[in-house]
Amino acid sequence: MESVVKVESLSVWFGAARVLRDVDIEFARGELTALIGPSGSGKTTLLRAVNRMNDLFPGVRTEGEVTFFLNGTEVRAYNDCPDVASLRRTAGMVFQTPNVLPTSIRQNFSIPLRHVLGLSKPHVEERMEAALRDAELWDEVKDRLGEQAQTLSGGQQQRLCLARALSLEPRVLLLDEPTASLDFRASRRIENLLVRLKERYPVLAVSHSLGQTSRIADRVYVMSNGAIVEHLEGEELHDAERLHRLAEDLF
Amino acid sequence: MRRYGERLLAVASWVAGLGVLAVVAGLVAFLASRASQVLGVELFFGDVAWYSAVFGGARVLDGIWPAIAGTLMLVFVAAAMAIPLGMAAGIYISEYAKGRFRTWVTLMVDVLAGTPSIIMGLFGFAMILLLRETFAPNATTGLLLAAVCLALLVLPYMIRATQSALEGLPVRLRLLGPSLGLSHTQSVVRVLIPSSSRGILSGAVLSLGRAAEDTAVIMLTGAVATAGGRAPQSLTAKFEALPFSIYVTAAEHNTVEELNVGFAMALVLLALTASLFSGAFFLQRSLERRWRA
Repeated sequence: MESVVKVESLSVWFGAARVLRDVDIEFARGELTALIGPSGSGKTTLLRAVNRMNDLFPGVRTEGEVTFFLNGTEVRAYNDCPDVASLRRTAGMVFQTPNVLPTSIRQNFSIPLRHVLGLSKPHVEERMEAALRDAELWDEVKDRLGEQAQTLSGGQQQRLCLARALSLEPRVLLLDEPTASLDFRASRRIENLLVRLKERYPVLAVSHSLGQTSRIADRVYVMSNGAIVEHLEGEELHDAERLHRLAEDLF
Repeated sequence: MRRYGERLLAVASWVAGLGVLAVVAGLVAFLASRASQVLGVELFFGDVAWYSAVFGGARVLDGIWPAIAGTLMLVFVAAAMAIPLGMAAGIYISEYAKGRFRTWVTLMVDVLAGTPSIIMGLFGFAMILLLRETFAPNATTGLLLAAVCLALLVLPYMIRATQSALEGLPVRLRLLGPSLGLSHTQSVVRVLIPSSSRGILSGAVLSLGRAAEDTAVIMLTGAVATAGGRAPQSLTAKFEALPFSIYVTAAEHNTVEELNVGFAMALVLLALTASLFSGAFFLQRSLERRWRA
């Protein structure tokens, strides 16, 4: 397995509460890695530790290391990270509830593309179209790019967020229960999209459903109480009896 | 019983809402009825043609034009100082200041907010005395001093409004910019400030209104009853202003007609602040539309 991101002995405290305990995980090229576990088990904190989003909350302390392996160079996220903003850009993030900017669909792309990448207007349009096609949203929005993003349906908004992340050409994707707020049909659509995208981007996704995980994940880390308690990969993910037992333990 | 209480609350809310409307309507109607007896071009410019007063600098000795021009300039200069500075301070406290220093700055803003306007006027007056005795013997009260003191007076409103508009934004918006790779300052400028512009506008509106109506500050810092019948000619000139003129008229009128002029000035002051509010409103809406499009 060719690791793209390696998390080593990671612990996170919010104030005095220890939310993650010595977590070691890695995720690899061509794979979708899922984090599952009951709520409060630290999945989202672990996901947000990868691109240092936890730093945005007051009173957070992190120990351990997250290392990105990008084109033969190692970038460390915590100890002597040269530039946190560009580290975050390396990881495209999609939140649990669709997090669109309260602006037009076009502006959702042009704000990050112009100010993070410094692209000019024609380049912004090009990137936006390519990313929207990638997220299978182009045909639905191409005639209404000037409309408010919040007028789209939940599933469309979530695909917009995915497209926006893709437009910045990230090296990995971090997804926090991206289908949690969607109905069955919209969820399936995003799942199929992820199966296609994982060929190009290593994906780390928090998931709330064991069924979904066994359908689309290549590797699963099970969390409980801030620690990894089980690691499944390959055939183990289709072992119905084992999954059943896991489900009973967890939920 | 519970249903009865809920209904009572609903009725009380309606009555309170309608009460505000009734009070404002009553006030405006009263002012309008008294003002209507003197309202006309002569009220503003006396017997001088309006264009030679506004553009030609002709003296208006028997009209309220100099006071209107004085108030407009005063509010403009004060707002030009207080709005950007207050916004900057609010952004600093909400987005950059940390720990004990932040607590101190917040406390100082509270102290400033609690300072009565007469104290602010005295402060300006004392500052001129100090300047006269030290390195500016010719320093005198005037438009600029009054505007500085007014700016100090409204600064805390602007700071508070900006700060609470930013702090009231949902966490998801705060996470969004950084998750896309925007730096902290980029996120503040490109996402957070535009998202909170309506709250910031309400601070600007409050500041404009407060600066336009305050009398205590300007009566100690350069407002006069008659300033030669012209709009203020320089930043150091003495000036007329509507609230002070209203005060003088109310205190010293001899006839009912003179008092009616006072009521007319009050109505004009209301109209003036209302148009400043709508100006701020349209400016904010057009900036917001440009950001959203």
